[in-house]
Amino acid sequence: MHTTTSLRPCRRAITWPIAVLLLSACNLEVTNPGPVNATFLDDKAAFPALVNGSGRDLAEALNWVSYTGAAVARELHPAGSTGSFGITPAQQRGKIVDDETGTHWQLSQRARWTSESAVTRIKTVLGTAYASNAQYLQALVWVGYSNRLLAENFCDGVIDGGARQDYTVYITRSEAAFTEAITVATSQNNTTLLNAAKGGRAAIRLLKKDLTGAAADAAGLANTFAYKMPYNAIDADQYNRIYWAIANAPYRAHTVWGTYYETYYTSTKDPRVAWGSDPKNPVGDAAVGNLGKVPWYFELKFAAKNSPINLSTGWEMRLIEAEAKLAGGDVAGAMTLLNGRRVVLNLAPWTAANATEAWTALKRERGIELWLEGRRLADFRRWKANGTPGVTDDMTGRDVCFATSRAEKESNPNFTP
Amino acid sequence: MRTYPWSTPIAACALALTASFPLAPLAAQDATGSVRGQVTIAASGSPLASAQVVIVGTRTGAMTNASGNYTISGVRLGQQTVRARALGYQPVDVVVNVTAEGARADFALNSAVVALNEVVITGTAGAARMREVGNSIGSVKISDVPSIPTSVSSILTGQMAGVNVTGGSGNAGAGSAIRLRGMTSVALTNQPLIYIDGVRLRSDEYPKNVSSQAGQGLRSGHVNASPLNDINPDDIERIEVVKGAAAATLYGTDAAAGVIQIFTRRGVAGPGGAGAAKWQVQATTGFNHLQQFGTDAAPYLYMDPFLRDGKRYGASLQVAGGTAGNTRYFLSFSGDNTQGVLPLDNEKKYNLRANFDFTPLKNLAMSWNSAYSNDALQNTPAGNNASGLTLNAFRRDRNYFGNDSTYKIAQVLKYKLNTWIDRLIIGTTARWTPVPALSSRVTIGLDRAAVENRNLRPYGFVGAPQGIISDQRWQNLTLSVDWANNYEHSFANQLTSTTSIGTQYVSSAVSSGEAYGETFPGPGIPTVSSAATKNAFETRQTLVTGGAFLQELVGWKDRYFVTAGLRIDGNSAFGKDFGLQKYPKVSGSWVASEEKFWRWPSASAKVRAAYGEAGRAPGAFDAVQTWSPVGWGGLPAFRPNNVGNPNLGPERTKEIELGTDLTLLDGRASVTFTYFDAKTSDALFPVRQIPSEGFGGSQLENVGKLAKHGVELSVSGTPLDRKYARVTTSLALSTNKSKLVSLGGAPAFSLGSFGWAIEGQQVPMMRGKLIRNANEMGAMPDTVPNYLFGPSQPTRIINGSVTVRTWRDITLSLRGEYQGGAFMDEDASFQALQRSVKWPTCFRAYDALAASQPITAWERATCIPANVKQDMFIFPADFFKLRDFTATVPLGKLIPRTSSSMFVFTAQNFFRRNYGMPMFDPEQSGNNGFNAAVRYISEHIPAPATFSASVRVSF
Repeated sequence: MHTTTSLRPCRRAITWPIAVLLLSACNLEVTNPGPVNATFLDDKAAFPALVNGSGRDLAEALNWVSYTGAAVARELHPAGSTGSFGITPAQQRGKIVDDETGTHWQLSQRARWTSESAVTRIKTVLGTAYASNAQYLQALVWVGYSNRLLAENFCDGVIDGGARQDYTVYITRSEAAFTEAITVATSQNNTTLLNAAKGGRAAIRLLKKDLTGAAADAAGLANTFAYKMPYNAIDADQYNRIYWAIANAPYRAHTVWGTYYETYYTSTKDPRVAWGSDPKNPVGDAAVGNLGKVPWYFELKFAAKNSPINLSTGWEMRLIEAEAKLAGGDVAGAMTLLNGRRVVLNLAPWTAANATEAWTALKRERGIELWLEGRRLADFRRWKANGTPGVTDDMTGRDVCFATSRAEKESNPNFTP
Repeated sequence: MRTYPWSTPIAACALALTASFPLAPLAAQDATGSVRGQVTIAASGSPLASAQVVIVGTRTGAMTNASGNYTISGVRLGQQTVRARALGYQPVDVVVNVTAEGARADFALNSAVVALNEVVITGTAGAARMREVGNSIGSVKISDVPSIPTSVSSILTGQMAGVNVTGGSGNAGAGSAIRLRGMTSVALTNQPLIYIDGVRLRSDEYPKNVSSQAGQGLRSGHVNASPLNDINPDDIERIEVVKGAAAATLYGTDAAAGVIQIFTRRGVAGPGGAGAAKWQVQATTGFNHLQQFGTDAAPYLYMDPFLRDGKRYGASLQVAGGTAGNTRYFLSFSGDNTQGVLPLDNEKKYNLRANFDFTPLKNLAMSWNSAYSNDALQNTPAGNNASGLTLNAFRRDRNYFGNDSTYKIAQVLKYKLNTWIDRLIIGTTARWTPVPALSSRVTIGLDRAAVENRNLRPYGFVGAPQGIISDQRWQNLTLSVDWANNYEHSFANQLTSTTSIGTQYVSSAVSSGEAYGETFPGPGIPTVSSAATKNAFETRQTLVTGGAFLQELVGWKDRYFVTAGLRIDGNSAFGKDFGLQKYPKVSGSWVASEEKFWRWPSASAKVRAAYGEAGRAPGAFDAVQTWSPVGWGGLPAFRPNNVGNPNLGPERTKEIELGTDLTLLDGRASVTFTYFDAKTSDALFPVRQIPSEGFGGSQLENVGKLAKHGVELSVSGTPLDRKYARVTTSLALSTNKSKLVSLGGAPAFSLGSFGWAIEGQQVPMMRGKLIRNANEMGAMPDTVPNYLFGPSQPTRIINGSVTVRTWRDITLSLRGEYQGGAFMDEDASFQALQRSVKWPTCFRAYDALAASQPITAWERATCIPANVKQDMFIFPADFFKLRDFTATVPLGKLIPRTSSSMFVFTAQNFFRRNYGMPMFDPEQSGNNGFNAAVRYISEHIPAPATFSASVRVSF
């Protein structure tokens, strides 16, 4: 009883702090700023940012794939760095192995997924009104180009955690997206994206071996047409990676030295494959295997952080038309088309006495025209598969596509080797 | 029971212990004299303040002052037994003959490692006596540490079984990781929770000085400072450590990795309630010296021209006392200036502390603790940084200058890396004891850490000729409220009961704002505004944990104790579907030496067993699917960020502890043994997402099961105790074997730096390429890919110390530590060798190849650049270090007008021997910081040896 009496004042005194503390302890909800909940993206106002994000994802994917692809396809040679902004020893040997393709695969797949999910989301939210939505059209174009990037550069096709397929699955998806984009762009009267879709579809049809369709799309685009992936100086993720890797800040990771383009530029001064040198920094930023230090001849096609990379151009269309003609046996017609740009640039035209020489000229001209744009591996794989004649860089023992990343292989239960 | 007039649990418990020794002298009834003397700590010879000295059999006594001196007047003449005792020390009796002229009795007290009545706080609802506690609690008293502590980490290094302090680098300000019983989580931080005087602190590292701008992630000194280093070690009285879930249950979510509680010094009231101010001044000087970490041919891996012996000097002032109005105070100030061994490295730090205790009402005791520190760090660019000093020096002529001249490389020294850390810790505790049986304690704490990281490459800097700057303002604000109530009741049949109930609330808010700019108009000292292009970054995250606990402690005959408790927690990071979490615990202890059958009166023994659960919460955004607003060339943009998991909850660790605490030979020897077995269910694993599904990366999921077990054995004793020769020794052994029991169906995944989570293996398991015939001459390497080398954490740690007290109480102390069983990736060698750098581990091979002589398989694999693979550089991380040597020389009153003074010399980490790793220090960290799940060695230098001399004066 004594205890009960003595505790009475205590109870009164501690009741209110107990209540306050218990209440405060139960209120555990926190709203943190920054990342947004996925449901926020269903708001129409978020569509421009959603689609821009798809574009940025594709820009980053292209940035990585074009650089590594260039190193493997002998568009560039290593000059030192193997880590950040460098070319790994395996890539130097022409190998694109699955434990080094994690970033390339992840970025490329993300670019595909974000653009395709943006298309789905806009359709879902807008209902039948989607076709008149400008962001929907842009998203379709990104779907087309992101699938083209995958189709041109990767060995396997994998969609949304599904089973391994042939890489041509990307061709199908790309063509379908570009085809719808052409329809929507036409209805929206958007010439820029109409041409972008046509240019993209021409390239993907070339890969599909639909040369007639490719040439038809290409024919509708003027020489001056260019649809470019922009880069900017705001963030290093968005710098042109090939430029930044030789910006001497502090990397001098690659060189034109020893490539076909070194001697070609020396003899022709073709501005499309221009390179320079720096007497103060005559060699790359580290040693290259047994070669030791190598001369540092830096490319000048991308001369700034914000140098864009072409996605489709009118001059590429001429080369598609030329390849279609060449495949059809029209050597003269092909040579006229593939020399079109050379005439404009006052360069000596390629000459060909036969189809083989014409194929050689076409292969060289595509290499020059599309230099460092992430397109060369697809050319090698296509020409090899098609058994086309002609001479180009020696790719013996070198890979022509990026392996599916180990991360995909190990995390995707549906992926079978 | 009596009502304690003092506020803090420590003081209250101290008084509870000493309640039977009222200190006011009785009026002299007959002829009396006085007894005076000094109480010191046997291990170090340092004076022991606040010790109670009493005349046995009387109510006469006194407390020692800051110099350890005491005077008891009114002592009856004749032979008397004088007893000295202090919290945490073994009592000592001395027989003196008191005459009218007085008598002298000096005492040297030994630490009572397992004193059954020693009071501990950590892991208990209130204060508890060691005899009542069923789990192990480690404790370090600063007065027992002979060396000059330079940080909290240095105090804990090698001090107790199961506590491993490791990591860091030779850069100024670099912190260390603390692991209690190894790793508990593979996905979350393994730093234990840190409390100081009941206030929750940030325990994870501060952000390193590096910009968030993409592509700038390597441009840094790669130094992570530790919040623990902001605490002035001179302010600390003792540190308690509970190492696992069995003991940390009452801390709930976040406590699975253990808890460290720091208690700072308090003011001392004299026998009458008032105490004269006791001053202590200390001046310290010394230097840091880097020891060889390369081979004999290249002892410093070509860093020689850039290294220096870094000077250290500092001073501190402390004053402690009490007033007649029941107010006690402890005030301190210290300032330290430490040069690093790298040319730009410097640290200037000062600390202020004010602790007050007062009793505004009869039953209400209050305490106020406040500490402020300011740390100004300057670092040299280092680590795996192409614009760094170490990388370019290591890589010789294959560096980013293509030149190994000192002049060329020294250009990176124009890089300016500055960090300023402002830390304010405030806590107040109110203890209300309305009736003797009931007490209620509330502690409210605030920990604010503000960091500015400024990273500048000025105009004209090599590699960034237009200049680059970033300035980050980072802040952590932790608010904690801890409320505990205890009700004690004794029953007639020797049954006692203590019921405890309480709540805790912790809110931790971290925010960061950074401005980045590049391209300055010209020379000069720029700001971000000077830059032609600018960028900005901001993050804000708040995590809240709230919980309540209930605990019942039942004792019988004061030797059988059972404790049962339950903690219930909620956390803002839990998924929506997860709800509250419950963490139960139960423990028991039995003081066997107080049984009738016990036949060894000079020994005491306690047997204990404990079971408990604790958790570890995921991060703020881990449960929710989110997209990041990122922007694209000036346009708004979103991209996938986190997949999210609505079922996400904490991982839960269940631990069993069994052990015994023994004292032998009247306290001259003690043995503590603990076996622990912990299992973590619902372990959070970063389950790799399928890249083709868009989000990529990983998502935390509660899918795994982890286990670990081990033993901890501590033995200490005094094998020799003579007037001029007293030897005390200690030995601590701990083992830890982990196992990843289940991945929950997820595939094995990398934790970085070749550490892997693989089912059935220790975790993290180091996986790489083994060269089976490494030493075979002339042979091609016979390699095994994906070979499992062993864990990345040590599996066995042995600490030992010996202290010798000699003539005039001059004390010499030596402490060493061995760690074994771990493996580590040494990446600096790989980075150099693959770039054809002429590397010292290959000098023999180069000579042999030049002379057409055979080389070993190992040399063929590593010294020929085309053969070099990154995963071939995994080495045993076993090492032995002499942690410190300390000489303490009491100077008495050599300095006029002082009560005592002392000279201390300390050498720390001055000897290391590797067992398996050819170069570097296995305790180093890489770019990923000291708290990484798997440390590796990048282009860093090891932590240097430290030599310090100090004079401490009391008056």
